[in-house]
Amino acid sequence: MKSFAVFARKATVRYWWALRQIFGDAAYENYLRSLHRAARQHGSPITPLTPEEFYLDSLRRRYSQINRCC
Amino acid sequence: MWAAVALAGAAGLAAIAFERDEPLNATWFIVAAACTYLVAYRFYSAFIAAKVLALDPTRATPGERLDDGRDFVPTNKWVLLGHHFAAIAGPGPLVGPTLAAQFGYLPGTLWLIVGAVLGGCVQDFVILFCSMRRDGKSLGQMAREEVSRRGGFIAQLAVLAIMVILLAVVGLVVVNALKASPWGMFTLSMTVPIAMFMGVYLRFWRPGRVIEASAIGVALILLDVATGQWVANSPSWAHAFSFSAPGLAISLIIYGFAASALPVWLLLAPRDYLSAFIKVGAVFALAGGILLVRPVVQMPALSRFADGTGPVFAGKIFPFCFITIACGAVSGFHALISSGTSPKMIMNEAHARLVGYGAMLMESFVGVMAMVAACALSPGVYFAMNSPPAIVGGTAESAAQTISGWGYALAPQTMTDLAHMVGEQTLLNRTGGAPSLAVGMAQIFSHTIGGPHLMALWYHFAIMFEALFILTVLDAGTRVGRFMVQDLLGHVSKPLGRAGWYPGILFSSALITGAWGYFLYQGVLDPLGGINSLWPLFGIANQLLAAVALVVATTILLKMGKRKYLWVTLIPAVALVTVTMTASYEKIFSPDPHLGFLAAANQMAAQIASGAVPAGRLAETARLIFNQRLDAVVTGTLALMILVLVVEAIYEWVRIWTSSGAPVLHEAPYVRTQWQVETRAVEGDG
Repeated sequence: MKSFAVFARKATVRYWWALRQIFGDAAYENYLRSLHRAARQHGSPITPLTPEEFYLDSLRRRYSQINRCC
Repeated sequence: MWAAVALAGAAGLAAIAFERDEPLNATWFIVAAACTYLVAYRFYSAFIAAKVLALDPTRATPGERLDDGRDFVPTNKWVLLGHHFAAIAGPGPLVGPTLAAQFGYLPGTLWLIVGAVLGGCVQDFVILFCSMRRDGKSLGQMAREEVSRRGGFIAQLAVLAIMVILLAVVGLVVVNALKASPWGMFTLSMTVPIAMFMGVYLRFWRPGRVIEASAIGVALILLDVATGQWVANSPSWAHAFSFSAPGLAISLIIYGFAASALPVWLLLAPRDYLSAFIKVGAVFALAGGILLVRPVVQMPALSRFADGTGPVFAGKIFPFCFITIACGAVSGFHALISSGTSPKMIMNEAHARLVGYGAMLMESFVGVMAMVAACALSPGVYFAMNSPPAIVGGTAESAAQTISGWGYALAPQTMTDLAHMVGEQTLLNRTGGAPSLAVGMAQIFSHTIGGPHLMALWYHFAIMFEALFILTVLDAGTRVGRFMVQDLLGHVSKPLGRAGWYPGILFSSALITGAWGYFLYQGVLDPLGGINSLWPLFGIANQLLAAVALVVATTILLKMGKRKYLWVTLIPAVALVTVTMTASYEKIFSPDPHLGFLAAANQMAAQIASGAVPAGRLAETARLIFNQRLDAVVTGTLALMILVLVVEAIYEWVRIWTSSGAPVLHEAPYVRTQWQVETRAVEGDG
């Protein structure tokens, strides 16, 4: 029973993670992670976009090219 | 184990192909499709990955090398599979198979399965690979660099043409689904304020919290579908939400213009999120419903309309089945997605196989389910819904008489009862495929949950689901089309090309909306329902783009020195060029006025000349003649463009083949990945 509960909890966490990745909820966190990784590699200071700026920027990028098929 | 899967697939295909004595259960379709896909993925895609493309897991992808957290984002392969599938799966794999069901279930189903495995998946996979090796370059850029400058220009023009026709035809599907349907119209109208609420929520209150906002949006939409019944039952509200087809077309054109010019965060993006959620939910629900209900397919394997005299659209199985079903089998539009965002998000080269080949298999499966849902209807009902009034008449009696005369039994009361059951005034002449698919889905859903009492609710849920993501295609397509027009106008006038200059935005929005709006309105006025001419035109344009993609892919393979494996892309390319050229020729020059644009125009011109057209209808007939000739010119131009590209490509192939030096391949240089290389071999990955 306990092992099933552990399995269910892990599965839920995994599912929630995938859902957030697929639908874009995690996009800002991914962006920050990328930015910090780049900063570590190049040693330069960074000024990340705010969540709102990042959201608007990502929409502008996504909807200025074909991103949906027929 | 793989032998067992292959045997099961062969048994499924044999049942679909040869079973004639007893009604066929939908389970056979699922078994045939799923097993064929599994075998194709395991062996054919592995062969392409290892031998043809030689995917290299040690090579850093653009996602790794250029990672900026915005465009280039290395992404988990399963997440990217979800992204890519959501991007490629639109209304096409639902509508195309539904229309092609007029030939019977066999031709369309076989084309969906075989076309996807040998053509569509290969195209998506190879183009994804080519773009990934070129830092995510678009199909147009690759055509310019690898084939010729003219080839690149043709690809860009083909994309613009396909956008215009696509937007018109999907708009027409929505018009035919919602005309004189207050419930459906109310439901869809309410999605606009719901999407705007979500837009404000995501922009100001909780930036980027897409799941949260979408969950609220989906709940509101479900409430909206239920409320629609009350609207339909209230005479004054029903009147307010009852639109004629021309009225609805004009509303859509105005809407498309507004959606293109409004800030993207307000309407387009939240509608896209809503649509994605509902699309994924509805597709899984349909799959689950078919597995649970296992409906019996009532359509024959081959209908009498295999001879080309079909009421849904004219033309024989070859080439028109292959034109009608594009998405779900082979779709050129996918090449734009495969050379768009997806190649910039691949984490490891080996993942291209799962994302490119695997996502297309999933879309093909959606197409097979749509075919099952359409063929689960009785053929009489299917033809009554999908035939225009010019062929079966506008009353239940005339439709029943005509369709029964074709050998498909239909009582007039059947259509009246069915319309009553789904809460519509009529289901006759609902061309376009969406309403018949919605009835098929509603039957499957209501067998699972709620029984006949919920049939009306399920029908309007299905209509809302189809219309919602068709409108998303319309919004997003108009906006992208606007950018393309601005790009072209920028060569003429610099300010018109500036993305931020508002007069330029309005002007280019008006141009692109006017272009697809013209074709949409033309379709609405067409006495044969519009789908008859517009859907084949869309199919031709889409398959031409697929031919462009496969020709570009063949050129790249040749430059890579893969002469032995050229057949992988060359065979589908030759097949598509043959299909599209034959279809284009027949659509332009066929002497049958139901099929040939010029024959139809000439027939109407002769009617005017002989005085058979009343004075009051002269202007309308003259407009129809112009439209038929315009369609002929558009088809001819598209065919000519592909011919030029094919000739350019053949010239390039001969040059490469006969040249002693190594051809110039425009790949990004090899950089070894800094991440831990996946130890699994390419063949076993995924």
